[in-house]
Parts: sequence; C-alpha cells; structure tokens
Amino acid sequence: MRLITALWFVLAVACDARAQTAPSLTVADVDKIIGQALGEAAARGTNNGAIAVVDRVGNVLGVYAPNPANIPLLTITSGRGIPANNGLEAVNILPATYGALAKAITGAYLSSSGNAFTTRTASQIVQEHFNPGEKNTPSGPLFGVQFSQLPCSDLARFGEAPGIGPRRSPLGLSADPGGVPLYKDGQVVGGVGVLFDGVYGLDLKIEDYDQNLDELIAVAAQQGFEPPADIASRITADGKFLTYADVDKRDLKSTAAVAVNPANYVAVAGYTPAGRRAGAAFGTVGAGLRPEGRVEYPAVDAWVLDDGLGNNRYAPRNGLAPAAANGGLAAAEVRTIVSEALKVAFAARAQIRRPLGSYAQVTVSVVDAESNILAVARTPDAPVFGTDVSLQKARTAVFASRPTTTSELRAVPAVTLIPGTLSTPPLASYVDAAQALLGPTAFADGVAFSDRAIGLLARPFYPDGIEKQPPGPLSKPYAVWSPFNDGLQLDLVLPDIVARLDGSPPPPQGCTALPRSAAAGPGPGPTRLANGLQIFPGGVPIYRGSTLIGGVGVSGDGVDQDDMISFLGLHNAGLALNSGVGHAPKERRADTLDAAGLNPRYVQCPFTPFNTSREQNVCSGK
Amino acid sequence: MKRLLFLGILMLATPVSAATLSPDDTDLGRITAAKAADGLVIAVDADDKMPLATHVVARFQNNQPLMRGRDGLWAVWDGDPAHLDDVGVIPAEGKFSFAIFDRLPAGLFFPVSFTVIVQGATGLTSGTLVVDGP
Repeated sequence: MRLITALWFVLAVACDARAQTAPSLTVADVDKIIGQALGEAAARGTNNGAIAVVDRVGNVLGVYAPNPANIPLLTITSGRGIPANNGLEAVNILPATYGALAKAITGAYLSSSGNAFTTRTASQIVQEHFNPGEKNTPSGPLFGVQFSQLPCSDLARFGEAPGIGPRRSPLGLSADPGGVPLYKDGQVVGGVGVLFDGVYGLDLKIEDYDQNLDELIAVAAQQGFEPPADIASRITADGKFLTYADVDKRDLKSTAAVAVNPANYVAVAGYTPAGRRAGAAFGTVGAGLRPEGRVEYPAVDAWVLDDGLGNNRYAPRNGLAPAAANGGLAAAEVRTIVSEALKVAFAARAQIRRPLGSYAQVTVSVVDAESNILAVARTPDAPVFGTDVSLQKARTAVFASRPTTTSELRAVPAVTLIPGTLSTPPLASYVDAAQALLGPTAFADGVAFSDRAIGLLARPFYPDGIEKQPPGPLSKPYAVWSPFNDGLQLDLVLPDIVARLDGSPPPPQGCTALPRSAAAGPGPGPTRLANGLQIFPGGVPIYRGSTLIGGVGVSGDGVDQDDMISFLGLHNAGLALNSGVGHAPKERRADTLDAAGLNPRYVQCPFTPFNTSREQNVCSGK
Repeated sequence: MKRLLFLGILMLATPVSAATLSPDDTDLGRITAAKAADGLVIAVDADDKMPLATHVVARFQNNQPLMRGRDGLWAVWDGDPAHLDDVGVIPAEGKFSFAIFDRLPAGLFFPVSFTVIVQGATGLTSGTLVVDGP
C-alpha cells in the first residue's frame, strides 16, 4: 500500500460527539485553584514554593511560583536517613517546580470516576510493607509504580506545548503528600501539586494524622474541584482502607483565595512555557485518548491512544521479533489478545472502584519479543497511569523471560553521574545476586517470568515482607533501600532521568542502556525496557508453543485483577485463536524454580472475581 | 530552485553534515520543526563508499514507521529491512544527501525520527536525526 506524500499528512480529525461534553479545566479554573492555594499558604505564613496544575492527560496548565526569582530547591528523602549516592536519596539540586509537577500528575493519573487517589495514597502502596510500618506484611500493591511515566519513556508525550497525552513526569509518580486530583461533575479533569515544605518524600507512619503543609495547601487549592465523597477514603485493598488525605477542609486556615499574578506562572523547561492555559477534554482526539469506535475491536467498548490527528497510535500490527512470517504474533492475534483481555476486564469486579460491583478499568499493552509495541487499548475510565505501566509490565515480562537478559545486564557498566551524589553500580551485580539465589543459569535459560515473579525478586526482603530476611536479588539491601533507591528498577533508568533534569527530550529509543530491537531495522528501535522496568503484578510473556514471542501487560485496577486480566486474557485468546499462542509451558514458568526453598508465584487471581458469574478459582490449572 | 533549496538545507543540516553513518546507528542530533520549515536534507559523509542501496525511514511515537520510495512517496514499512525501497542516493562531493522533504508538511505527528541508511558491501550503516515539534 502506497500513500502519496500529501495524503500522508492530510488526516481527518475525528471528533467524538460524546467527548464534546467531557468537562475540562478553564483558565479561570486554573487561576481559582492557584489563588486558593496561595490563600492557604498566606494564612500559614509561607510564600515560597511551587504549585502546579495539570489536566487529566498530564498537560501542564500552569506552574506558579509566588517568588519566581527565588524558587526553592527540594530535597528528595525517604526520611530513613539514607545518605547521598543511594539512588535519588538526598538529591537537593532540583527546583520545587519539578516536585509540584510530579505531584500534580500523580493526583490526576491515579484517579478516575471510580476512585480518587492522591500522593498520600501512593505513599501507602509503594513501601516495603502494606500498610507501611506493619512489620512482616508484604510490600505495597503498587510497589515500584513511582518509576513510571518517566521523562525518557518512548510512549509518554513531552514538550512545552500542550497537546495529546499521556505526558511524562520529571520524577515519575510521587508519594509525597500534597498532590490531589481535580474533579468536575464527578469526572477527573486534572491534578494539583504543591511543594512548599522543601521536602520531596513520603509518609513512613500512616497510623497518625499529619498536618502536612503541602497537603493542606493542595486541599485548599482543590476546593470546588473535590471528588465525590464516595470514591475517596472508601476504597480498600487487602481489606485495608486506602488513605485519601490526612486533612480536609475543616483543617484549612484560609477563608478566601488570593489574586494571582499572571507574571508568576513560570516556565519549566521541557514541560511548560510561562503562563497558563486551559486543559484538554478527556476522551477527545485533542487529549490523545478517545473511544475506538468498535472498528478495530468490535466486541468491546475500547478506547485507544490518538496521535492528535485522529489516528490510533498503537493499532494492532504484526510482531517484528519474531516476524509474523516466522512464527511471531500476527496483527489478528494481537487484536484478539487485547480484545480478550478487555473482555475479562469488563466482566471482572473492580477492586479499587466505587460503587461496588463496578467492572475493572485497565489499559492493555502487547509487545513482541524485542519490546516493539504491537497494540495499546483500554477501557473508557481506566486511570491514565496504567497506560505507561501496562507497557512497562509487558516489556518486563518479555525482558525477564529472554535468554539474553544475563548478558545484556552484565554489559551495562557502573555510571557516575555526579561524584559522591548520584551513581549506579554495574548491573552485573544484580545478575550475580540472582544467580546466587536461582542458580547459575538464571535469566539465561529461558525460564518464563511474569511480572509478579520478577517483583518478588525485587523486594527488600525475600520472602516479601519478612523482616530481617536478605533482600531479593534485584533489590538494594534494606539498610539503604527506599522507594527512591529500590534497586535494578531505578538503576536501569537513573542516568536517563538525570540526563533529562534539564527538560531535554527523551532519546528516540527510550530509556536504559540495554540493546535496541534489532528487528525494528536500522535506527532507533526501542530498547528492551524503553519506558523502564516495572515490578508489580500484571504482565505475562506470550509464547507460541515453547517459543517466546511477546508479552502482555495490564494496569489500572487491583494487582490481582491486573494479574488475572493479563493471564486469562492471554489464555482465552489462545483458545479463541487455536494457533499455538498462549502461556509459557507450565514446566518453564518461574513458579517451578526453587528459590531458597520457595517457588516464586507466577500469577495470583482473585477468588470469585466476576460480576457475571460465580466461578471461583478462575486461573487454576491454566 | 532545487539547488537553492539544497543550499538552504545544507545550512540547516550543518550539525550533521560531517557525520558518518555507522552499523550502530549514528546519532545525528535533534532539530526543531521550525528549523526544518523550509525543507530538510540530511547530508552525511560518503566515506568513499559506493552504496548498493540507500533508504530513508520515518518513525513517529506510534507503531507505523514509513519508508521513502525513489519516487518521493512514503509508504507504510513493515519493519523488515529487506522490504525497504532504494531511494537512489549517490555520493556527490564526498557526501550522501538525502532529501527528506521540501517543505514541512502540515499535521505531522512529532517527534519524527528520520533514519538514513546506506547498504554497502559489508552491511547496513545508518544515522538518525530527530525533528521535534514546533
């Protein structure tokens, strides 16, 4: 098929009628939000920091600095006393604007019409125990999510001009209280992030109620844009309530907004020019996420990523590695895998959504065996963070299951970024530790790893959560471990994050120094983990017979739901296709390994998970 | 007219005009779309090579790479180097000059990475220039 040059660029913009009614933030809204934040800051006697407002897909609508000539620096710290030269711990060279941006994006990306999550929620679910501080409990369900939406991602959009999303974040997702979502008519329209206290950290003690300055200002900023009460603070995971915020409007000291000074909307290189602007309406071509229209996926109400011109950015295509003609995934197979996974989501009872009985809302990504993206699609109200994370999960499952992983990690040397402050070890150190635990052929023998299995090796205690046990081989030792220094996940991308602290664009091949896809042909094919490693459940490798041909990742609901949707989606697709596509042979799965007397779990599905049936052990035996 | 265009573009391509293509894909840098508004030619050292074939590939932040044909048309590329069209560039004055476009097209999905490829007797060498949005 050949297209003439002119036609290539003349593309119809398909406007979705439903999306016309989606609420969005106006410039007046942005001023109001900022003014309310300034009012609370003034009432608390502080006037130096940064406030950021973004829309639901991460477009920066304004970054406000009350004192633009003297924007304070933030200090990254977990509060565990870990010195510099341990990941991002003790880094104090970044302006508060970066922290505010990451917090605003987190509030927007983690939330939906069914759940309102904040950076305080994030803090609760990324630490070594869930709940934090409860000894010998497993790690948080979204352990590792902080290193997503990275500034080097090959999927996330970037640049100062607003446009389609999802957009990148300078520091990934934030667990520092003071980032909250913004709602209109019960729908997420964005997020606001505040950094006035100079600390970019997290909450180690969740059993108390903090009067956190940033959170107080953020809650003040949010007045008039709050989520429905039913979807904040009433959502559980593992029987534990997920915290929304430690303060509410009764704690505020301010009584009125302060007039904003338009000149104080500052530029942040690589993210926004000076000034403020309106947000995109979610669900439109202009936002970059919109209904698919049941053309590509006729059986499900799928949404897809749009290039801003009316085109699906990641419509199903043939795999490159292996090539479809050589046993790789064919576009029709990719389409079936995505469609079957979405069917499972639409049938599944959501874990993190209200009202009870809602279906799960997720994003599904499929890649080939060299991490080339073959398709991305989602349910309508899936939280935006799952776009990038589902792709991370698909790539992680593939990367860990490839027999070349050992050699590829060993080839990445130590990097000193700022002497005495920022460095990474040779990644061979993780391979050595993995082989000490799993045997000398670990990550070189083609064992199939799910994201759940990999994640268990990336916890600061092995087995997960058991105090005084040694770290998993892909983790830092607990003495220096924190969500800002978690091991292989961060060390793979730390040089890329640091290289983009000036706002520079991502490299065309994406994150990490790992090899690029050779099958993508000459040029910047994606690296093996082009948007970073992910270490919480929800992805499995795809096989044809015993040959690794790709991976599928799912993100957006509870991790057991994500796990089930990826696992059953692939299983059901295999049944529908009858072409040999399916899971790894059982004898090759990671749960057959003896890892210090334990078998790393491959998948964990919820009990009686469907709204549509009473089936109980839905993944058993598959 | 063509010569004028070429000279103008050479100026734009100055940062990459001395680069040599490599099997590992040479980074030819980034430019903004504004700088390529009046056209883009990527000029690289020929390194005394006579090519067996030359190719141009455009990649966006999606999964639909395009290849340039000898007739100047763009077509969807399936990712297989064996299926790339030969654009017929030959060395002149010690350089390969790949004409990418005459005028910045409207509605382009940025960023776009343009990879220029030379097939020689010993294999493929390439280099990539990224054009960021305006």
